[in-house]
Amino acid sequence: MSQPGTTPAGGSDVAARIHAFIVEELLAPQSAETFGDETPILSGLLDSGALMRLMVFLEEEFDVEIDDEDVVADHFASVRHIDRLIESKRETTGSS
Amino acid sequence: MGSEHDVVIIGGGPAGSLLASLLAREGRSILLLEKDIHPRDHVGEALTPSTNVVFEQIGFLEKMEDAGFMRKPGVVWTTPNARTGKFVSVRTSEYPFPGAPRPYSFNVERDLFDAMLLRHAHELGATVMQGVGAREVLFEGDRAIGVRVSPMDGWEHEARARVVVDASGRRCLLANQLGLRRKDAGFNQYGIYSWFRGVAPAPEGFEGYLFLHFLGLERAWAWQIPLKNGVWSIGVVTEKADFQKSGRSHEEFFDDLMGRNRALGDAMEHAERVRPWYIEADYTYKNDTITGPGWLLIGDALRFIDPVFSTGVDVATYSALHASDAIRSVLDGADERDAFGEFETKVTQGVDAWYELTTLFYDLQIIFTLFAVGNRFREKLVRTLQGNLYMPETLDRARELIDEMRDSYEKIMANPDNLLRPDTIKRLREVFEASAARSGARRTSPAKAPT
Repeated sequence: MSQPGTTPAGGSDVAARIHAFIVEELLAPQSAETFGDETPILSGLLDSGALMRLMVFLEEEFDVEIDDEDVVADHFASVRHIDRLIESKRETTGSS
Repeated sequence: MGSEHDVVIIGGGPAGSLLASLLAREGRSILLLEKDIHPRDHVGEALTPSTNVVFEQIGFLEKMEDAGFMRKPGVVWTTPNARTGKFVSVRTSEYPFPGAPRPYSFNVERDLFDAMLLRHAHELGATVMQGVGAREVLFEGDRAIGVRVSPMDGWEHEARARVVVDASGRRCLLANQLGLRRKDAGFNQYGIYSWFRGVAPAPEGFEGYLFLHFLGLERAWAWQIPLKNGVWSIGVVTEKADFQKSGRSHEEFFDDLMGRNRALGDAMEHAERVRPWYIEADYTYKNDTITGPGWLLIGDALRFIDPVFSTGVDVATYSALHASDAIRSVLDGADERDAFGEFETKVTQGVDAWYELTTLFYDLQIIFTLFAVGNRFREKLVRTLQGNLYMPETLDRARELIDEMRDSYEKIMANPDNLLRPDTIKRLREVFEASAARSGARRTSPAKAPT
């Protein structure tokens, strides 16, 4: 169950949902076991197809629009990085 | 030996039969010449939702429902390494066009569909001749005045008409006769396909969907189209050079390409082929002009681009519809140049937009799919893919979409660090592995093979 209200910057609820999606939908079982919020995603864990499905998930789950310019290593290096991207998008649009 | 008609139509495929139906039902005298005897096989099973409008107009939509053709609610795109059942999809019912008769389109066995439509034209009053090919279009100066027909040696017939319509399909009878046909240098695709049984059923909730599988190769993809009774049409499309270089048989090449997509490979594990292999090559072309004094081109005979967006029958349907408008007004006394000119403009603009969109697909590949399902372009793209780009609203939307997607694509490609660029993920992985090796750290082994 998600926590009520917003969480502090570095929002653990958002990070948890991102983490869950990646582990359940995108990773092979052997990588899923050791996958954490800091695990480097761009070490080869996701291919372009998985990245695409991740982007679709992020837009739908958090009701944000991810610009093409946002899709760079700095924003997708780990769950923590993605979490920061989503928070910045939500602040811009004011969605909860 | 001769006969006189309002219109002679060369070809009894969807374009010819639809045009014949549209005009015959209002009492025009129509002669339709079909060289084959139906039913006969033909490529191109997926229809766009736009086609339902014209089917309904001629009273044919009910027949399609009665025939039980597979209803297609939408399209699924899969990437090469995605696990079966993990994909993105769009439903046409998300954004229905105004007046859409149905929230789905059909996948049709072309032998049955074409035969039904040909018969429908006959029932509406067209004179339909099967097994009779047109030999050439007859001219007086630059005006088409009829068609020479020769059912057999020694039996010649001149069918004269106010308007001659070439609906002869890829054969492009009239365009070739007049030297108008141009092969497209930018597209040299090659398709190998057949029908199969024993294919794994679609995941729950996706019955009827058309599957488009990326194969991890430039300009290559596969279609998987569900038909009735557990039969699927499955084809691979790739650059002709790839096939020629491979030096393999059609069967081997097909199997090899199919195996490059996990979902498709899994679905085909126990499949058996139930038709011969069919090949389509050199299929992208255009004609310098599509009308002239006393003549029009419709359907594949006017142009064919590529099967990727199932545009073939959309072009056939709407070129037939607009041809019927032009012909009707000419038969009723309107200026032919104006009427035919309007037809040419409308149809050419719409088909050009399809061409641009198809070009974008081949340039963007997986990025195109991302655009399709991401928030920014989804609505515009889902609406555009439903067809009928021959009116200002839909054409403008398609052009905007094309410009915006092209613009986004260029921005992505201009930044070497953008993860959407085809090579970036691979490069970053290599960088990671290299630095991990140097630091002597234990490597995280990649979970999947790279695309």
